[in-house]
Amino acid sequence: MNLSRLRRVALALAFVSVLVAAAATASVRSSKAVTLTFWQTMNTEETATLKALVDKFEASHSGIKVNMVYVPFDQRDAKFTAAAQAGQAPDVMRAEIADVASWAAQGFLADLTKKVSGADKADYLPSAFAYDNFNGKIWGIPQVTDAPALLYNKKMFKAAGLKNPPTTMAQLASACAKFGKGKGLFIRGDSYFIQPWIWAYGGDLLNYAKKQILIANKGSVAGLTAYVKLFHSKCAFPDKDFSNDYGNMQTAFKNGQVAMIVNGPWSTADVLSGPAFKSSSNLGVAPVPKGPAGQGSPVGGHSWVIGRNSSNVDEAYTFIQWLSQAAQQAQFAAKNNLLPTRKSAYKDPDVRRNRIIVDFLTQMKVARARPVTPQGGQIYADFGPNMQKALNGSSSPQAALDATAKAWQSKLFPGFKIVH
Amino acid sequence: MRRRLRRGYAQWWFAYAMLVPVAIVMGLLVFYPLVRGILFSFTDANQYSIGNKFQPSSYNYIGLRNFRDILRSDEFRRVAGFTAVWTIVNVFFHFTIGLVLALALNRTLRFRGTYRMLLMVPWAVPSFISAFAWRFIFNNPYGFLDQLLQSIGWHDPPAFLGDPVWAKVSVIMTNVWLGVPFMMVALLGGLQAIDQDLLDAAEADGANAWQRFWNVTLPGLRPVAATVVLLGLIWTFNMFNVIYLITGGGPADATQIFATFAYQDAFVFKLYGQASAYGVIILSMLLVFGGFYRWAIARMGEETWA
Repeated sequence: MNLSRLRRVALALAFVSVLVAAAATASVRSSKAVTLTFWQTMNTEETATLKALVDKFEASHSGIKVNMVYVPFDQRDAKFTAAAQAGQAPDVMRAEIADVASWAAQGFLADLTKKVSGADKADYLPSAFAYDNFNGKIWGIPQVTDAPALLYNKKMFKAAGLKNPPTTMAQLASACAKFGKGKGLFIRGDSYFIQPWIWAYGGDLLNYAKKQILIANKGSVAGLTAYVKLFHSKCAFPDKDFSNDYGNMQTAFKNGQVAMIVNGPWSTADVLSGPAFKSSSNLGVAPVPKGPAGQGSPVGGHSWVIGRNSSNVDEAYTFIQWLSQAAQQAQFAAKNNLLPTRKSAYKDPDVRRNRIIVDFLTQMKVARARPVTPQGGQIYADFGPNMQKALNGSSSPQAALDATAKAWQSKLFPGFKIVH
Repeated sequence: MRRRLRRGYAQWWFAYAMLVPVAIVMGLLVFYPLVRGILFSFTDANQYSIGNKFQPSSYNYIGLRNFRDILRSDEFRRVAGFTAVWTIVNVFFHFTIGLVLALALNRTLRFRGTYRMLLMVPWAVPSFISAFAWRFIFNNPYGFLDQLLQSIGWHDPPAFLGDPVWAKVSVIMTNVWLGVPFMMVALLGGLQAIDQDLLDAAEADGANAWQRFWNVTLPGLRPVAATVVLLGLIWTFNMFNVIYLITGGGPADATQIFATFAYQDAFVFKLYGQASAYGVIILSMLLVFGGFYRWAIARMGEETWA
């Protein structure tokens, strides 16, 4: 009797302890569920696509939660830098391609060299993936790629008696002249958008490996000279306000007030909302014309990076690797006309059917990489004002580029040689 | 002496205790950054060498090289030139227009309250919103001003933000518009503090309106005017929003003032050492203003205002 009671107590105790153990293992497992902080800088339409994908990711990865935070694109460097300085950087961040090398050089990013698989390395477009490789290591994986192309209004071309878009710089000038005063072409006082001309005439920005500054060489000067001439030609839309000329360019093109502009895939959704493009087939996309010594348009885009202070690098990499898979990139392509960064994504029927992406691909084939340096985003800060001096005639193209080269040498690239 | 100190402590401990939080906050928010900034101005610190949690700092003390480089550069002379023009022209128009409006509103006229309220609007709107509004107004060819001029037959209006000279005029116009209300209100207060008996006595002595203004009103305004002009000089000298938001210092750096130029050094080029040196230079210039002001006030025999 006494014994059986004791046995019952023991049994009850055993039962309870099993329960406790089970609960304990359960709680251990749930504490393994990881929440990733994710800062992203996409526009409203892209964010909607991203949100749906994040939900899908969470549903298929029960151990990982994603806390998505919007950071305005133009504040991303300031915010990320400040957070990373204090060791509070997000687990996952969407970086402009020039940010990657800059943040890596400051020690803010997790090294992903050992994480990126051989298959992934072979599948990423080399032009986009180049920006994630710095100092022999991999610091990010490419999310989207782009390059400005020549956008033109087909109806206006037909009315002016032009059949095809210009393919050389000489043809561009003569095509522009077919239109009335200020109606041919809008080109801007912005140093990012002059780069195709620099390359077309045999110039370049930098040679980082050889520590050379090339922005004041003969080809670069010829490029700026041609740009200034085109800028002042009668058929060019009078660009009188450099600080608002991106918006003015879009407005003029959308209203059918100008026949040609140079802009990237990100702008096409806005262009197609304009009255001149009620029928979307009216929008032509062609590569930026070839010059006497080359052709090129600057490759831009964004990458996914992981903060060095992250304690969940494995989960963070799982997340960004999943986001960059072909199926997910195809979603952005179909919904937002964004160019995938994987070769395999271009086999997706949705991507192949998207005419704007297909047209921009011909531009990507002749796009040029911007220098992959920590200062890659800062080079435009001195280039812009000097280029504007050449445009308003207060200095010659040669003097403007000499001043740019000197500023780069003193502020950004000490020890580099200016090569003429 | 010691006893006196002890007695002072016994008598005033409560006051000192009340001051402690303020002293700590001031120390953390003002003096510590100030000292750090001054120390940085003697270094070659930049974004890579300033150090962070993951890599130690590696900048060097380079003595006065930052100051020498800045003072020798053409950029410095150009920026100093426009900063001087910007400050003096702005404060001149703030003061003269503000004074005229204050004199007008100091008299009894119909709807005076309404006028006062309307004239306060530029001051009541946050300056960055006004700056954005003016940026749209100045836009060529889609802005209000360009469209207005075209509609009255001027087919090629000036490039308000694209031409270096016009861009200077445009940002100064905007800042004049923004700054007049404060001057007007301050001077109106000064006018109302002038004893009416003095003006009546002057009138009885046969002084005409101009003589009364020149010999009674203006001297009576002097203490208020000196204070608001000094404040205006300091604010305008450091007025960052208007230029940064309307032209960003452009076109071709034509509208850079010290405040925007130092910002660019610090937050675009991230040359923290050089930007700190700019900060120290700006601070010293403002100290000179302040010192001159104290001297001028003391000379006027108005120590109470200093």
